Amino acid sequence: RLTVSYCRSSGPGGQHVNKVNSKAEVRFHLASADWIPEAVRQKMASMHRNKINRAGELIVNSEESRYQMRNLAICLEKIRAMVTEATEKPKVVSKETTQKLIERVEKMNRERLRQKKIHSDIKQSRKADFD
Amino acid sequence: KERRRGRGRYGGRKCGRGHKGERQRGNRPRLGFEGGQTPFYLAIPKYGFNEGHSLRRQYQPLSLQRLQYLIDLGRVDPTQPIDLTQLTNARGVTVQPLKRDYGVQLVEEGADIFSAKVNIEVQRASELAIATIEKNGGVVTTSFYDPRSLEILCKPVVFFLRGQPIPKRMLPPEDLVRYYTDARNRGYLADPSKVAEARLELAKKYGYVLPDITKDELFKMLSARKDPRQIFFGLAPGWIVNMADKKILKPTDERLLKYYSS
Repeated sequence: RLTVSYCRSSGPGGQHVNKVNSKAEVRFHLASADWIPEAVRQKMASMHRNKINRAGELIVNSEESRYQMRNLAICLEKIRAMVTEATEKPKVVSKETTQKLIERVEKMNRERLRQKKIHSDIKQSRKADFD
Repeated sequence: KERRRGRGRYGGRKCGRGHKGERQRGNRPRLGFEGGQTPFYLAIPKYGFNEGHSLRRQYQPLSLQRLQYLIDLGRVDPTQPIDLTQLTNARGVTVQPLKRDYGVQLVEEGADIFSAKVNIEVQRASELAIATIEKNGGVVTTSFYDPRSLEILCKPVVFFLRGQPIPKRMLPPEDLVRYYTDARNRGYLADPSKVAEARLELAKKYGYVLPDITKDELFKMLSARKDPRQIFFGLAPGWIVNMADKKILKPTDERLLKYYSS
């Protein structure tokens, strides 16, 4: 269900880069990919809008390594990472935890002001006021 | 007008030595001297880059491209398990056991071109190399040879002419035990079931269909592996090979048999 194609990579390298196919490209039709759940598919379509062409295929390519096989492995890893990223749910912070966090912040501020008051009292007690 | 030339064997006249001074008089200072300035090799501080280099293990690289080349030329037989002895006989690699060489390692140079089904045994192999060989239906194993057995492996005939019994291969030292018991490196001490799992994992990672070697005709040959204490395929430790009379002598004493089979 994944279409793999190889072509020549870009960049310097002389004759070797010109003749050897090392760029691996993997493309698959996103809407008809039944191995990804529907919700995840929508998420991916919105996240990687720039990588989808007019025909609706998601394209992933890699030319980082000198070897075709490694580039293919990197492409597959990228696809896996995309799917995992799209599957993760937004973090739901429970009510108790939010309350706890607010309480913590307030406590910190109170403590800070108390310490400030103590310090100020010390400094004031050193003042000699001729009354 | 002709160019006037000094005669003589070394060019004549100034003899290529320049004009006066230390150069002509053969009194130049030693190599590295910079006229009194602290020379480069003393100004740079010492750091342990090469410390213990004589104790470091070295592995001769064997690229997949070289292996394919040897197989194509017919120097190495892919229908038999490929061992260090086979590679040395085919002059594919040159291993120097005395120079801290501990064997051969597989390098991924010709990964895209490689297409040969072989049963290879090396000392180290990288992941891509293992993946390429298994994709083409082969089997990779990594095993350890201590320096004495390595020397015997590389030059078997010289050893047989000595007339000593084949010693048993020693087990790897502590730091290498972990490497050779790991299924991902296809170590010879690893669990076969874990090796099968690792094969599937690699197939998934690199995106190829793992060919089933059990249904292969050469399955028996491909799955032939050496015993951890064995150096040669057909011979067991303790035997003496007589080259002159073309005979093999095996020990019969109970204690010797017990020692060699432990």
